[in-house]
Amino acid sequence: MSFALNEVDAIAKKATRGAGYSWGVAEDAGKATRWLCANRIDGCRALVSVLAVTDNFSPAKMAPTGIVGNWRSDGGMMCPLMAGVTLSDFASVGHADEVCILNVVSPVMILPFAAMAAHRLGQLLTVQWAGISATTDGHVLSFDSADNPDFRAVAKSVTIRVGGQIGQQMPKQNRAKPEGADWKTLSSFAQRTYAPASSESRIMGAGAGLSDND
Amino acid sequence: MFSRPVFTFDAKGVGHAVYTAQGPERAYSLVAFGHDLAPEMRSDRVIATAWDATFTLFDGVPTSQDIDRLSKNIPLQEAGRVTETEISVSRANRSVRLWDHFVNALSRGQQPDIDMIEAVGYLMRTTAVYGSGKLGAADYETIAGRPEMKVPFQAEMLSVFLTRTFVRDLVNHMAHAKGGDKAVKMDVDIARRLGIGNSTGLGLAPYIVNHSNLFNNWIMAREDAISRVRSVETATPTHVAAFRKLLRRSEISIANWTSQHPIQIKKLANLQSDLNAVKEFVEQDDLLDNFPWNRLLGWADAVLHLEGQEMIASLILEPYGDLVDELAGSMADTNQDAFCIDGRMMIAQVRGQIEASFGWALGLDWAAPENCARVWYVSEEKLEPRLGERAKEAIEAYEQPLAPARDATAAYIAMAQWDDEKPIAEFLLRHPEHRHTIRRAQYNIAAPYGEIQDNTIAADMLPIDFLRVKLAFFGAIHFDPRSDRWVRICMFANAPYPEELTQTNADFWVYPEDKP
Repeated sequence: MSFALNEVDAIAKKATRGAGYSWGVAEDAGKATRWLCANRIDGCRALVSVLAVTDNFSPAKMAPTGIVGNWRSDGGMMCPLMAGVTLSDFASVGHADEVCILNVVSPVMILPFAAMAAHRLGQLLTVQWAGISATTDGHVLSFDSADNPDFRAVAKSVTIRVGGQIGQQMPKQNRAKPEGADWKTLSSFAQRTYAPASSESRIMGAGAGLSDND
Repeated sequence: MFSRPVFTFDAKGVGHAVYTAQGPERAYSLVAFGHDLAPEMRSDRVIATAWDATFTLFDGVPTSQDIDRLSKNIPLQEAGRVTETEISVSRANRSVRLWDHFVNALSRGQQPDIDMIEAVGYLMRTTAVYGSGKLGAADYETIAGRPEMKVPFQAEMLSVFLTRTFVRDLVNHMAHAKGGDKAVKMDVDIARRLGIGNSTGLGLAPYIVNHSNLFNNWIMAREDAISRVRSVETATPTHVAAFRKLLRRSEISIANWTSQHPIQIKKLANLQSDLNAVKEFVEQDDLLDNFPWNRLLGWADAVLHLEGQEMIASLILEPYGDLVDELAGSMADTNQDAFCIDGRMMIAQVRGQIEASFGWALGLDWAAPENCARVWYVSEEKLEPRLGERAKEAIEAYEQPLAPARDATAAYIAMAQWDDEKPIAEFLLRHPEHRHTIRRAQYNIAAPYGEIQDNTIAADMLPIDFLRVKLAFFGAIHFDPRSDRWVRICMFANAPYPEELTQTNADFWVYPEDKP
């Protein structure tokens, strides 16, 4: 089934919130998932791979402890959403030409944040892990492993450096075609943000007042 | 050019129709499905599962295969799926009071009772109009580049405009099916009085909080328009005559505006007294010289209620289409880059922006029960947006981020411990819980009207106020709250029907021409 990119954005944001992240990070996760899908990478699969691992941990334990030297987390594994927002936030601060992030879950999820950083910098950024390389200027992406990205792999290190060359561009698309199982998983994370039905809520929460059938 | 290539219904109103609007480059078609709804199923709430009629706006002209596919999905609304060739999905319920009266009267060869029409205003009301990717429809971004879709919500407005025509045609059809040769068609004048209703609940309220850039652009366009007209030093007699004429015509609209809600009843009384005061003022002032509109608004600010002030602010724009109409082109939110946080910005600047946007909120005691009484949440029951009481219901864990003033205050206090010169990126690294607030603060730098200047979770907060401002931009009239959290309104009353539409009658129809 094909989905609108706004649907992807919305479910990804809710799922990320449902998995325990702050609203602000969830907003970024929505846009990041959408960006991957727009660039023909299965963003929903990528986000499912992230949330499946991070669900049992506090996001704070999987965030960079600082930006000096290699980026590490307290908990050992690094969440690409937490590392990603940090990457994009610090892009224009001009702290380093190269960043190395250790033990990154589902590293493909770093790409949209690298794109945001590249856009803010107005420069190309190249992201590399496990022999895989991708380059973006913020809008277009070249990605040498696009056909078969290993979404579940944990990369020992991901480096992001200024420069590189955009080779074959990923074609853009304005619909997403996620796997049904992934959509279901995201929906079940999103479900955690919905309040359980109750008769009190049903009557008082939205309606009441005069008749709606006249 | 408009056409109705398909119209197939039985005597109970079950069937489907297609209405096509053909523009210079593209066509858009309303595909309408009529249903035989059991009365006990009829509800305007999101939690309803069946409706009297369901619709989609199709991008182009649908084939019979398209219609077949749509017939299996559109009647289900949220339980169905659409594709990128569909731009909106909507549904409508009959006004029980008026529908039966119309069918019965017309079937007997009589015209319906005008007093009943004025009391209700429409034969059907839409209860949701979904767009921009909802249920699988086309994202707004895919149509935003088309000149005819540049102004926000044009597709949804076209859908509603065509829905009004469908409703007129269906009631004529059902009256004929019932009365046969005795039946008559609805008079043109009666048909024109009819609008299309809309019943709206809490779903609209989060929208204006969640789309602060877009909402800013709407308010800014209006403020800019008002400012341009206030700056007119000398008005021509033609402009003044146009204003006086529309003021008279708005008296008729106001006289037809009724509500049973105590708050609205009071506002309508205020509006009526304001109107009388305005009439006196403009009798004594020729409105020609010395910045007449600025004088009028200055007087209104000092003397009238808010209702009257806003009415005048809108009315003075009407004679000046050449001055203000172009501003509609600035209402879309095209600033997509704004989402990306500028981490380099100094903490001092972010705090300064929060002071500018939420100065009134920073000293508020946010722990006081009356200041944080409400919780905006989404129910798992058909994902209906709802509002609850923080102290009485176990819903805080499900709270949506719809209290920007409270959140801004929390971020502001947290930043006070930080060095003003540090980049905000460093603060965000330690405080991801304030990330949405920092993003908003950065939005607000370019969007000075982006924030509601009030507490959205206060005990005395009225959701209907959120609904009113958004609906007003759609040209809603006869705002009628049915509780503190849902309303009914009317649109397109007195508008020409598609086959009547010309360059000369396309404007000003919202002001009725004469008294019934």
